[in-house]
Amino acid sequence: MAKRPVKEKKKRPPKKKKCFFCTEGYVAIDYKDVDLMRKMTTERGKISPRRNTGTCPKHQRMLAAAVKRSRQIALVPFVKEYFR
Amino acid sequence: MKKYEIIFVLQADEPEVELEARVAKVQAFAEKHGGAITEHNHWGVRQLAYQIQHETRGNYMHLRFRCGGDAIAPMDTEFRLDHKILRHLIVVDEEWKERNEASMAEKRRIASAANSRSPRFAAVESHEPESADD
Repeated sequence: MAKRPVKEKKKRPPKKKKCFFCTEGYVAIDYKDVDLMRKMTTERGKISPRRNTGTCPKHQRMLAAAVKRSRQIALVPFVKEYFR
Repeated sequence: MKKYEIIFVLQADEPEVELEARVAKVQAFAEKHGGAITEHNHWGVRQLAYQIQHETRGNYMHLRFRCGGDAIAPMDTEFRLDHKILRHLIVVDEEWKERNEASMAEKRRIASAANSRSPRFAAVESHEPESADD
């Protein structure tokens, strides 16, 4: 009996994420918006990479600047060393 | 004249008088350079994201003001030398909130216009078979 050729499973390409800021209609990112800063940073307080959030380059640049500003006045941590 | 905003963090256990003194200072600087404070936002005592001078809480004050650019450098030094101020930040007011709200409203208007258009298209499509029967 001839061996049945093993079918290669085709992987569906992952769904492309859309930029949160573009869909919501942001034109500028406010560093005073603490909830937004929390949302776009990791548990440790790092700025979330584009590959995770799907943010477009333009908004990612604005976001990075905003997070750095809000770190300066202690609204958002630089690093959170101890977290659960 | 430009628009600026300042956020400063006062030690949490300082009385209200100290806060008002700092606000008056900003007012004085702004008025000296032909401007004025346009908006007061007292955020109150907040938890700091990290310890500053062994303090875990700070009293936040956010002011928006208009004044000439010459006032900013001396104002910055004033706040930097102030021991009761834990942190301060003076930046050009880019009116984030107003601009975002305007663009979001525009986006919503476009979306609602698109929604209102689609049922009309559906109506046109439903009429077509009837006309074919005739």
